[in-house]
Amino acid sequence: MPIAGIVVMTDEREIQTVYNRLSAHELITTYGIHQDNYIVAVIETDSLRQLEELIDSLRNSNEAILGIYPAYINFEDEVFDNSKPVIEDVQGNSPNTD
Amino acid sequence: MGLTRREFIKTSAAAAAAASLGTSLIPGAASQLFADSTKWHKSVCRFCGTGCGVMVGERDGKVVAVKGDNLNTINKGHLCVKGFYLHKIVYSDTRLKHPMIKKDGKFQRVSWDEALNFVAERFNSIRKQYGPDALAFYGSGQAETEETYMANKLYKGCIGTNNMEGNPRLCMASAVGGYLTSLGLDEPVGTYDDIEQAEFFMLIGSNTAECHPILFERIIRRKHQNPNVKILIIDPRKTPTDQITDLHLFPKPGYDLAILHAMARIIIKEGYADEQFIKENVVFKDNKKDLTFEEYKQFLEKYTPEYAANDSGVPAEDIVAAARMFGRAKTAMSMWTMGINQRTRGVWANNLITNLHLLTGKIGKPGCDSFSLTGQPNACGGVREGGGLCHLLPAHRSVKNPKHREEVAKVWDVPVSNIQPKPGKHTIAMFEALNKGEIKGIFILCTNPAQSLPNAAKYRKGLEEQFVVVSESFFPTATTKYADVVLPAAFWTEKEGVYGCTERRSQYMPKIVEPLGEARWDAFILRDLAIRMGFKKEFEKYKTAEDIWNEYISLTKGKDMDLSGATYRRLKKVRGLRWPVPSEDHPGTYKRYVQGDPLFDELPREKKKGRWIYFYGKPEGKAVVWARPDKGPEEPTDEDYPFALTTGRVLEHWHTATMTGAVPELNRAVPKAYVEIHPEDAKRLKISNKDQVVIETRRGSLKIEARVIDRPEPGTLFVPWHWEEWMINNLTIDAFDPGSKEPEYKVCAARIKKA
Repeated sequence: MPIAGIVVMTDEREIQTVYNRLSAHELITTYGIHQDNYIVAVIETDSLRQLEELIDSLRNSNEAILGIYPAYINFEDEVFDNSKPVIEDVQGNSPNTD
Repeated sequence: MGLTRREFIKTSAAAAAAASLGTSLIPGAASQLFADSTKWHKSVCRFCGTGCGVMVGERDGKVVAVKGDNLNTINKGHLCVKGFYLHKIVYSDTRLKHPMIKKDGKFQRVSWDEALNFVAERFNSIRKQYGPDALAFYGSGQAETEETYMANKLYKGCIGTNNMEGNPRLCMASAVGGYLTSLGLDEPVGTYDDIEQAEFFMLIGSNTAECHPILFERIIRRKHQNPNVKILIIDPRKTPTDQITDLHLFPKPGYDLAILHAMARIIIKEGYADEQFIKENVVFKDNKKDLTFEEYKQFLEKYTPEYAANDSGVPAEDIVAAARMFGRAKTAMSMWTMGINQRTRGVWANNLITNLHLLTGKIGKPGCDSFSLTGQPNACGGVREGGGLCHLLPAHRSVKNPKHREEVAKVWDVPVSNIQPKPGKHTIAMFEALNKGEIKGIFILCTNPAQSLPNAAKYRKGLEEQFVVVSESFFPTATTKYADVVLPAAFWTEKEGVYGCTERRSQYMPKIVEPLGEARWDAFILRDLAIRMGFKKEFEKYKTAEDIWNEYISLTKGKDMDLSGATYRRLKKVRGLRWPVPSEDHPGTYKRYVQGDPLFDELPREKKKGRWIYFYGKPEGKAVVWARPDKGPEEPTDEDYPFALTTGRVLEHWHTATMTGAVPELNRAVPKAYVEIHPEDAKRLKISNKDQVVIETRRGSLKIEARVIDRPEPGTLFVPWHWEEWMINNLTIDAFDPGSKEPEYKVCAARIKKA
């Protein structure tokens, strides 16, 4: 079950529309608009195929999206059976997992 | 509150993405978020020549995650889509895990001892019976510098043949020829840093958006921050790069030289030339003699916008507009790739691009450069700088130069007479010699020539008949079919070494996990083969990668590409160093030929005569503006073959797809080859979208699916070249540039019909 942290570069004039659209998607969590034309988001899917198809469809379905750049990809579920482990919080911080 | 691991990873992913923009979602917590059991290792992406920094996550001896390296100034934490799947390639089912020898037509698993002894005996036997030039090596711009260095020493220094080539001959040799003839020394003046300071970009023969997506992002970002930034594209095909263009010229494939001359003419006539820069820093030449500036202007008179329009098919007014865009911009950066290099006049095309920068003085200054983009991750570092071609020795040395041979022989500890003064066979000549039986044994490392050579079917005879050793991480490939021996090579993350990217930056990659199966590092495969061939004294001293690197950088000391300050100790800490970097306390060099370049700074005052730029590879430090004739492709279209066929890449795949083809997701995204044909042509030929069609050239034919789309201009066909099943290189032409010896993949005459 891959998780990807991505940066979506958009046409500045359309960024709020793009942001709203991404936020409404059930597989995407958005983390704000940055530097006027970037959106930080996390995509969670059941498979790499689904992830790739989602990114492709986002890229091809909206001209205001100028580029989608992965910044982090975790695929340890594919390498290990990773369904069980639970870890403690990070030194008292409770990261906003939305 | 506890976190599930999935929540933890999700938060980490968001934090990493935000951090790539210099933003913290959770102030102070980002580093702690990544402080779980996953260890992070600084490395470099395995794909193109951009040189993006990646952080590789490892847990329990396995690669489990990849993130962009925020501290790497090339990609600043971002990756392209291929980065998604790097891990899948490491663990792909197609990894070759043990040595094999072909016996009775079938590969059989053998021990390393048996494989290496067999190769050593066969190579020694060939050498003894037919001489050293009956052996050859064909390497790769994807091999590490240390790997290419070992092959160079074995072949040129010990076996005694210069029949050593690499696939960069097929992709960037024309850029080398262009830099040498225009500026005197290979590789760019500037760096990627110029992107953020340029007001104008000319992208020519480059689908930057798909082939160099991270650089494309930097260009978009630059335009976003400064709306005055203008972007000109000169390319026969509409591509995703067009989403940011201000003007796109669509020349017929192979007919852009006249456009560049016409732009130069307009630049001079309309007063955009920098007369002072020209007077101080430039000389003029044609193919036979020196010219004056006036004579050069006379040469250009032929190249009116109308002449260039008639030649190229581009409207004259667009050529004028393009020249004015270049001329009016305070700063200008040109970038190009295979559309310029893979031509029978690729060197000339390179020259004519650099002409525009020399005429306007837009070179050597921030935001200005004539900047060749590279297709492979270490074509610059390992092959251009490392000397992995048939006429080169390490550190920009030449086999023809007696002093260079002596310097290298001394460090290699071999008799100087071992190094032949005559260049060996360049790539096409090498595979022709295999066909003829003049070369009887070849070692192919980390590349797939049976698929990547132009007119590929022609060269399979030699591969079938001669003794072929292939060292590869993947099996099978189009080339391993012809191998007598296959050797499993360690892959990215399984070995340490250095990659040198487009902008003269050398970056260290650590070994993070153990190689799969019995795979070994190519440098040690070559070392162990050399020892078995009888070169124990010369090779047994290399115990580590650092041993090899240290010897290599000692050869760069005092050269234009001085890497002697780029020790492993430093490279392990920093995000690469851009040469020249002559000492361990030197920060590396942003611009060559100007203040801050140690070679410029050391020039005597009387030599520089007050000049702020000095092209020290050329007499009197003056670069050359070339008056080259305009020449079209080797095989123009005609009545029988009325279409121009051009080839290229798609975002999801890379080269012969031995890596990306192993990733199901990428295969599903673009599962097969296709031919793009313009709707007007398709209508005339009654071809519909997804119809099966047959493309024919004078070399072969290919049945393939049609994609009716307005990306190519009418009269042009485009086919991506990644698939062995739809091997378009059976149709491409193997004519090559007489200077660079780089083949003209980018254009040949073709016809198409419904199957």
